[in-house]
Amino acid sequence: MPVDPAMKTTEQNLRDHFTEQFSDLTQSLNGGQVPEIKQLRSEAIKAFTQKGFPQGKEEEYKYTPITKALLRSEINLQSPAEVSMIPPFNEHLLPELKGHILVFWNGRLVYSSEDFPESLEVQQMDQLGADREDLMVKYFGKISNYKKDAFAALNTALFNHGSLITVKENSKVDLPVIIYHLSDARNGLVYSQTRHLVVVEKNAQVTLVEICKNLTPKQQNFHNTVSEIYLKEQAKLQLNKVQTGCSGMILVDNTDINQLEGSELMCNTITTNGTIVRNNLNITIDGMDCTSHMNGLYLAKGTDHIDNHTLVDHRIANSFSDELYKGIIDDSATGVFNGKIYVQPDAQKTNAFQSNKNILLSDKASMNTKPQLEIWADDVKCSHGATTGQIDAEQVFYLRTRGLDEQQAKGLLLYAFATEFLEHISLPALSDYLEQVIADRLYRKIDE
Amino acid sequence: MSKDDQILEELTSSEYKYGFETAIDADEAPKGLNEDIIRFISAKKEEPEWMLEWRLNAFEKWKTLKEPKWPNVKYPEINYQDIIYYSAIKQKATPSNLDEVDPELIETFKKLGISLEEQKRLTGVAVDAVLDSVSVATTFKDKLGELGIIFCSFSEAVKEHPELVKKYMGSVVPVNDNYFAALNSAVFSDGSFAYIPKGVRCPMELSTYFRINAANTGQFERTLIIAEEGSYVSYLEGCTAPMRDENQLHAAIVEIYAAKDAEVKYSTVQNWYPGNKEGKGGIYNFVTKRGICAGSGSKISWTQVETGSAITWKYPSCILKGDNSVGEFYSVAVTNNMQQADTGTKMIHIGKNTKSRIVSKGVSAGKSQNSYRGLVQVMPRAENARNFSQCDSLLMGDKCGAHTFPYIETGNKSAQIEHEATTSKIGEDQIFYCNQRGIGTEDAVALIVNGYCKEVLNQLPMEFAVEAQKLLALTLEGSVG
Amino acid sequence: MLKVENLKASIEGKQILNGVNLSVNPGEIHAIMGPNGSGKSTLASVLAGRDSYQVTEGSISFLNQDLLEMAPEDRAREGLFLAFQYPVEIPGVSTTNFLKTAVNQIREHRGQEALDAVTFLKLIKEKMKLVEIDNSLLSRALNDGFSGGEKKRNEIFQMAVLEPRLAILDETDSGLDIDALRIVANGVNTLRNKDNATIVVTHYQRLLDYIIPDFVHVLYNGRIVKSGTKELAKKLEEKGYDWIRENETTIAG
Repeated sequence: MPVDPAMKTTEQNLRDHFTEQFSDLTQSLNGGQVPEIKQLRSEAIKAFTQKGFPQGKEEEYKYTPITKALLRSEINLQSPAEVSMIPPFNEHLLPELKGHILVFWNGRLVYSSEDFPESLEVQQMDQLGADREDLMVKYFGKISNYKKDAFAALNTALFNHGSLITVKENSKVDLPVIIYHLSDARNGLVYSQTRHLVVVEKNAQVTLVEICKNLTPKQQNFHNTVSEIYLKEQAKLQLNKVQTGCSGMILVDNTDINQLEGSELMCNTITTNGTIVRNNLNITIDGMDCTSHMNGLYLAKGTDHIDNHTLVDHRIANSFSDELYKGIIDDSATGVFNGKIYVQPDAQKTNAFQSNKNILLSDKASMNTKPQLEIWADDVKCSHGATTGQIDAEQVFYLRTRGLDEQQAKGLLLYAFATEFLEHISLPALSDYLEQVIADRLYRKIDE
Repeated sequence: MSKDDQILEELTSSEYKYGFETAIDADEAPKGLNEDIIRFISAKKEEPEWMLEWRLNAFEKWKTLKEPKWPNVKYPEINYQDIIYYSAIKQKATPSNLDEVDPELIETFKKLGISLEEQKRLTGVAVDAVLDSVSVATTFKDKLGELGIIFCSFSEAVKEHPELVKKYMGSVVPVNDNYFAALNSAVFSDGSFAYIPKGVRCPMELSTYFRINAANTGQFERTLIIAEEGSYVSYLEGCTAPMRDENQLHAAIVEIYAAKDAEVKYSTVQNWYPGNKEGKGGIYNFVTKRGICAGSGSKISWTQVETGSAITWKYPSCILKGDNSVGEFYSVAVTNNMQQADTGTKMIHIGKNTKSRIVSKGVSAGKSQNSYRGLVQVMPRAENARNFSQCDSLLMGDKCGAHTFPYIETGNKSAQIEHEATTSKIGEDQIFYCNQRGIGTEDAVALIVNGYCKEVLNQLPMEFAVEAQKLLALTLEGSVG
Repeated sequence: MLKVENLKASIEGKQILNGVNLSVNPGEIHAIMGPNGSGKSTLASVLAGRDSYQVTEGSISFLNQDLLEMAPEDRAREGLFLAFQYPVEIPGVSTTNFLKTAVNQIREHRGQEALDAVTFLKLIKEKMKLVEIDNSLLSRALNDGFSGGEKKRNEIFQMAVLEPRLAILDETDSGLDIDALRIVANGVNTLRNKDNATIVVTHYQRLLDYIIPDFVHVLYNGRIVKSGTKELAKKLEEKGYDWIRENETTIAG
């Protein structure tokens, strides 16, 4: 059902539209044959229909008016048509970053490396072999927050494309797996949804990179993606989320990660633009001796709006998590950070730390922070800290006494503040690229 | 140090010791809430017409509002028609001096450790005592009157100082601010009123002591403090209630207005009946407290020690409107057994160079849930705003919960906002160390908890500090096995 | 005063003390020496009643009472004092407040009246001189942010205030410079009388130049393998613990 552009669209219209789309598409949706997945989809659409898009004072979206942005935009809400011709995409990839590459164009796979090592298996959601059914039933939708989050629900109900990635027990994938999400509005604004499921088996190790790009930065494409990631015992994952080309986009990224005993996670998220970017990173710790590191950097300018919501749910004793998110907000941009730490009654001896540091550069910039600790166990060490302010005047002064002018000094300090993030990225090609992005942004500011 | 000594000497153990009930004839309204009840209350209090209209307007607003569901507390649905909204002890309308006050009442307050006899000047505290819905006595009135300070019951202020009441009542907490504020505005029965004229430094602590006595009643008192330019006042509030199996509702409002360079310090030791170990009974404490630093250079400081109530819902706040104004919030919230507390503050920075400081110390024991909820908001024009927040939680056992929900909204680049939160427990090594010096475990816990809360307790006037420290020890009794 | 017989104790299932025998009489100073891991601190902890240690065998009598049956605070109230190797920090609790609570609980235990503020203040002023500690230390939170030396001096100060019958100094000399060492030793010597006793647990002989022991015991592998006079300490200093080790091997062999 296309939304009549002459009428003022309301949230209810939008909601009805997707609900109807679901009933129209039920038969053609992937996994339609597997009863469990079918069931899941109808539960998800039910949840979505009941809840609708976040509005007004809804706590989880109170600072991020994503529904309003959706209503304002003129996105074609039809599921994008099949790709008849593969568009040229090579120029949009990072040339230096080598790995096993998957390219999604407007939500559909247009390219996949073929040289996967034996330890790595990649299949597409719309072409799953019968041998993957068990895996899907076991893992799919199990940690996604679709009962509570409208966007996760929408994705669960209506997704059609994405990858199922598994890493075999006791193996290490040497090259990173790189997933590109390209949005291209040359033939009209695009709405796309992708869905990934990643299972890193016992004692396996892999690095993932997800790069999201809007090829038509003046156009407000809407991308809604969900990834469910399982780290089995002693598994290791580095996950890098790169949102450096998202100008004009409305991007909702739901990433749900489940960790079992002894697993190690390093998750790095960088966002440098976007009309609205909302990242929901949810980590559940279901085993002892896990470590989880979360790093974030957001540089917002113009009227961009960057929102990071993270949740670490410690359910089992003896694990360690720490989180550092930093932001620099310029112009009339808005930053949002919400970090939740839950320590459940059984999670004694948990160590959980969180820090959020922000610098505001302009009179119209704003930052909303909500670090949230919820603790039900006594023998734990938890802390969070949050600061919002300007560049340290004392540091600026120090640099000026060494001969730098004020602009240079500030630029250098901002650059240092931001590039700490890069220390956590183990791929030099990616790190170099991001360093350039940061430098361009922060030094450009200085040259002005 | 002598403060500490007193505390230590008074660290005794007993159950909730304010749980007695006074047998006094009461004049009660029938159960339920409607326009007639409001007219009844207003008539009983012989109020002017404007006051009745104000109440009826609030009642209309209340009907359009919904009970807030966002606090992190759980309780069964409250039947607002099953509450008695007015209960007054049968005594002469307004006692002109203490001789006219029912001796039974004086006895009640004596039991609570509150002296209503003015001769006891040593205490240096002027008291307004409120039993159920009515102010029963205000002490030191004449002495304060000499300085132009008005300290009386709210009802009296309505009659004697209508211009002040009309001007300020509802100006800080609007009638429709929230569900409980609207309810209070419709049915409030009494409370305290204080006015400090320009340039006057109030020479003694002003204090209100609230006591719920009658069964099935709600208590809805209202306090209004007006500090004119350059004045200073320190205000104390204490509260207790008998032990009863049913829950009782307490929905109060405190409004503070601080003019240029005025300073108001408001301290609370809240010790309403918390219910028994199984969570039966106890007070639902839903309170709206807010102050406005209206003039430049003004300061409002809230200090609270919350040990009682089955449920606490309370966010003493500061609107920092005047340039260079200062807001402070110091809080100790202790929950044990089945208690639930959701408390914190709001600091709204509007003026330039405004400063706020938040120190919150939560202690959870038993099966209780203790939440800090706070908002620091820097408006776009609030140049050079400063905030420092420290929210610590101490957990005792793995059946309780500690939660922090700090909201930090910064809309000006010159703001400096710092927020820190930690969670800890009482170390076994700390208890052993105390044991090795001959200190029993229960006392060791009290000592350590008082140490942990020191920064807040230090803010309290001395008499209150002693009571507060005793309360902490009592509340946590039996929480470490 | 103290009689330890065949004491065996373990922590987390690991046996540390393998049958310690020790007898201390009023007026005596005993030094317990031994290499790292020999069980010195375990012995001190077991005497004070730290519950992470399990006593598996043996007995301890203190002033003719069964010490093992007593809670840590009762041991303290009966006059047993442990100067901790690592004094614990208690934020927000002033040293004065802490000591006043301790003193009065001990007095209550003995059926004595609680000290009033003035008398107590007088008492601590007097004891402060003994260990040359600063007034400001009293109002600071207990051990919170104290330097290593301040903590150790504070332990001796507390000992002076509480006037124990038996004091156990657990590695009190570790981390002290020579001046602090002298002050600590001076405190201990001043407090010494015919009715009380002291056990000095130490790794080095150095402290024993200042606190002259009547007896020196060498603890090795959880047993006292050698006892003697202060000459034994000197000999240990000269020959090192290897000497004991060789000796022990010979005996065992």
